[in-house]
Amino acid sequence: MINHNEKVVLITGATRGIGKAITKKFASEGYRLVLVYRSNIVEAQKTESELKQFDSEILMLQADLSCSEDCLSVVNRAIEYFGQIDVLVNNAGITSDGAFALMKPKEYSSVISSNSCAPVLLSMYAMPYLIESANQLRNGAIVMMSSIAGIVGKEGQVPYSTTKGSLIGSTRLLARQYGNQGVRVNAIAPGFIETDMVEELDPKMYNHVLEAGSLPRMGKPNEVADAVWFLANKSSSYVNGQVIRIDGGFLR
Amino acid sequence: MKVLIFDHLSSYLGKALADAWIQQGDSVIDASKVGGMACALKDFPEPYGFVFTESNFDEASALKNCQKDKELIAAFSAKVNEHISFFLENCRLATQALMPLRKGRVLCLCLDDVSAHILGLPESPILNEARNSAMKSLSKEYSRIGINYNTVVCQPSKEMVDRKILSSKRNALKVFSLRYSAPKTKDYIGFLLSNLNNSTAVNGGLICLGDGVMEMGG
Repeated sequence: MINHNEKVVLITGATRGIGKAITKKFASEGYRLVLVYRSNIVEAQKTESELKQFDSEILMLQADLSCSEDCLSVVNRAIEYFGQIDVLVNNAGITSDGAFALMKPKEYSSVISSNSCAPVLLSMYAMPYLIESANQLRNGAIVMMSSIAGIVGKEGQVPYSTTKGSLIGSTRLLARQYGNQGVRVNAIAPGFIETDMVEELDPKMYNHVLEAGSLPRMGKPNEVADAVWFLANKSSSYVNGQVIRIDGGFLR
Repeated sequence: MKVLIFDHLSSYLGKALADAWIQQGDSVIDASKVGGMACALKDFPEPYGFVFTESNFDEASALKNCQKDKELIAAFSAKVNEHISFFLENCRLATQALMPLRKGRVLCLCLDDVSAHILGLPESPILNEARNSAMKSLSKEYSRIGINYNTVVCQPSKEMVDRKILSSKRNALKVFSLRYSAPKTKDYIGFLLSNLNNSTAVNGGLICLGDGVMEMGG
């Protein structure tokens, strides 16, 4: 195993579902971790205790990423603690589902700030450190967590899919802007993944989606984490501005 | 007379399409001139359709300008927020207006950000992708009641670019076709009019217009 133990990854939405699987993947590879969670301190403590087996150095931060001051504070505190950021995984996301024509703007305004704006803010605030990481040949990579809904759309999820689409554009914009400084920016678009969020849904909501996949099952969080890991390390050194679908061969 | 409501008419292609729509004997409303979409709908509650014109927010330049300034970074993000919120609100109002009519067209125009990048024109990949995803989701949700949503991505037309720039960038433009020739505005408008007037064959589509091989983002 390559020893990555001088490197630091900042992961948002790190204590649940896909984020937790990403966290474990980086911990198992020897990264030092800056883990950001929104509000669930019980999950945060649980994650911290599950990570003890990896012996990783962890900075656990609570933040409301829909607030730009919190985004800046997360990066500043990560730098104060570890002095560097080598990889940023913009995983956190929220949704507000329902018939769009009946929704009120205040019902989805936080979806826009959390899903579209926070990743841009964190990426830009962390950019000088990511450039430094690239200059010192450590790393310098950003992975955005988009969604299959951002690529093909999803009824009942107009604000969510819009913001996940915007992340694909942010990926391309940042990749174009910072590729020549050694920072790579890519995105993952997961399909239906076995997480708490999906388990809470009525199966009627997703059975038709499973029928439209060439692999007739839901994905597992670690299958997404493996793809994030690929995009974050040097195995993907010639991949930039791309979106990888982890969706079981979802047809539409 | 078919009334088409535009979010604003300050963009090149949007303006050209509005002129052509008027020329065919129909009518357009520039929502930005009458106090916004909600006000436009008060005066014209039964429109034929809506056109969301190309974004005028040059994301690439804005991002370049804010690289090391934390306040400018926050301002950039706020601008993204503002544009997406404005767009979604217009989509919501458009959908609400068309639902009782059980028909209608919503067309979203975008300027291809790759050719715009090559040609030094404003590029808006964030808003383009957000708009495309929104149109697809809305189409999945509301095509069952006869509302038709499409995104059209256009390379900059010949009239939008200085001839010298087109010539100096001809090597880079080979990513689209070996001998790239920028399409004419009138050709785009012909297609857009036909789509708005006749076609129900495309719904939830991402239609890419330009010379050579292109798709959203390249």
